Amino acid sequence: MPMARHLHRRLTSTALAGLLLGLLAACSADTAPLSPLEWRKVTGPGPNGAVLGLGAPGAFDERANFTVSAFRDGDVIRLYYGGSDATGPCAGINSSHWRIGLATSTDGVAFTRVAGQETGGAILDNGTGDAFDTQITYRPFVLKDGATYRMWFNGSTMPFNCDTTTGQTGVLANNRRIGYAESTDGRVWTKHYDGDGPGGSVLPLGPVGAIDAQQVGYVWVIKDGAEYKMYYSANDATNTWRVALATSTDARHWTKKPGKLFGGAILDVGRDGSFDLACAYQPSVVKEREQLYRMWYRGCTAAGPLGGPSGGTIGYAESNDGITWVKIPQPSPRGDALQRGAAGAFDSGGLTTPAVFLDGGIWNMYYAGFDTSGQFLAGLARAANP
Amino acid sequence: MSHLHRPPRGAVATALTVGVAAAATLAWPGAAGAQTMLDQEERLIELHSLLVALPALAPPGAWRAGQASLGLEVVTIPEIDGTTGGKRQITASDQTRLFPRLRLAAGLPVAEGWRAFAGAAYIPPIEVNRVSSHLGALEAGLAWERGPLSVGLRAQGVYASSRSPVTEPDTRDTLRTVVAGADLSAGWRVATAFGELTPWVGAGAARVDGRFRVERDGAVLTSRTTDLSLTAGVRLVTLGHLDCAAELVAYPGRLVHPNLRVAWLHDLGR
Repeated sequence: MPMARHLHRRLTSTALAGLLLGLLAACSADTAPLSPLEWRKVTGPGPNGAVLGLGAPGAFDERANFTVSAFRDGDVIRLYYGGSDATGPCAGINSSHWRIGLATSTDGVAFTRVAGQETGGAILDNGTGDAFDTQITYRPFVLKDGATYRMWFNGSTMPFNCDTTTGQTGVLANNRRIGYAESTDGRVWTKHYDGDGPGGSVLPLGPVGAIDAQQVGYVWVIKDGAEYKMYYSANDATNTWRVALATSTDARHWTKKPGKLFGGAILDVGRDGSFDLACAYQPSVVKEREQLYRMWYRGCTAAGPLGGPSGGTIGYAESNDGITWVKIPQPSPRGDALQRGAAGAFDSGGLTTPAVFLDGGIWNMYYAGFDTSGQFLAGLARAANP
Repeated sequence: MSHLHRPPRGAVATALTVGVAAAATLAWPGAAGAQTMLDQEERLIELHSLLVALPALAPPGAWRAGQASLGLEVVTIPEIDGTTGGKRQITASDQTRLFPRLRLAAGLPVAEGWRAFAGAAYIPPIEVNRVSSHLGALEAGLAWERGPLSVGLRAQGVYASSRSPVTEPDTRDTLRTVVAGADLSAGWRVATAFGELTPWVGAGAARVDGRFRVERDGAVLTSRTTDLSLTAGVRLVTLGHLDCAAELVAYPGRLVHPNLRVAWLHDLGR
């Protein structure tokens, strides 16, 4: 019996010791490290991997396509884009007129242009007379809102980068405004010059010193319940671009909603050493579900020789309410989500105007890329939705 | 003491079950990575809500009818990484590694061969180190006994509201937590030279509803999850009235932490 009791004590002590060891060793809390979307570029049928090549000679988009946006509409992907013609005295796209075109695809990779009724086959032409969009009409963003297609776009009376009197580059367009058009089929559009901004554009400029004192443009709009949220790019007198917010209940009249960042921005440029030190704009916003808003945007490390953006990669931010945003470093050396392509690729010079949507289980990011010669074309990257 | 058994087989079984439970919790795979910042934020809400859930901290059938236990529970807080996106939030473990709460339990009269109890826990809203938590919890259980073996079912409900700096050091953000859960456990009483020792193991589930409100802008984040739990513990009743218990609670893939209780046991019938 003493032996049994001794054995019993030893076993009890062993059990207690095991439990104590378990207590000490197993104490932990599993927080969740981020596993961001893994974007992979899709090689398209266009030049050097682009998904959309140049338009035919004489077309509105014979020199470039640029400033894209895309979404699924029934059985097709609609790709709206700005196209550059061959007009003006400066080389390349610098003095071109820009108009808006449409291409569609069933697989999102092989696109067919839709011939529009406007100049050179565009679906939306430049304004006339003293309109704010006589030279540049590009960066379309289209929201299918019930039976109405709503389009917001950039308009400017100045060429991209050209002094038309001397035929020399060195004068940047600095009067972009936001235009608005409607359509019932997404192909034939009617512009409305009845907004609250200059020349009937959509959004007024900010006062002197404001982050949007010089230009506004590069819009993305979501319908969030009964409210429309317009994420617009705001350009100050130093030609620095940030993201700001305006809201509306009718999608026509907008109220600016200052954010908490510099000058009321909701997304500011980054700190020294960041990939978005010189610009953080051209937002593409997806409300994935309640409390989860995602934003992709163009960031650039340094200003161009004339000021303004240059180069460019795609950054990523998240928000719980669509108003307060937090940049999320992505798994790349500098924390951007999508980088420029390798030498020889159509996007080896930089990336602009991301346009992201979730299609089934796949995230699609259409973007405009340019090579080191300044040739702009549209590209695609995809990521599986975990 | 006549109901206590001392067979080595029982102790062996106890040691095995405790060992298996500990090994299971240690070997359980870690949580999958978050896809978004929101996933990380929801996980933090879930973890902090699970911390205030009411663990059994007693084997099934711990209290006879007319027996009451009043004591202090100490909940340990493992290190919690507050990183969400590119920011680091202030977590509970940045403030303290343990917090106490009052626990009261009383045995209820039931039929022969059964034991029942009802209990409560409470934390008054006293601010310490810029953190205050007001918590109330109830629990009740029913256990079947056969010799040294007891098998029991317990239900718990918790409501807590905690205020502390989370998003910024100078704010007082609020986490409101509601927990409802149940667990099934089995214990084996053995007599030792120190007193009555009862190891137990259990498994259960808890529905956790956490609502986090940022003071600065009123933004609200919610997390609603159902979490499975595994527990292993040991209770020692010694010196006639001293009721001590230690328990390891594991919410697999989420949280593993020990809790301790020291209570005074009193027979109200005497």
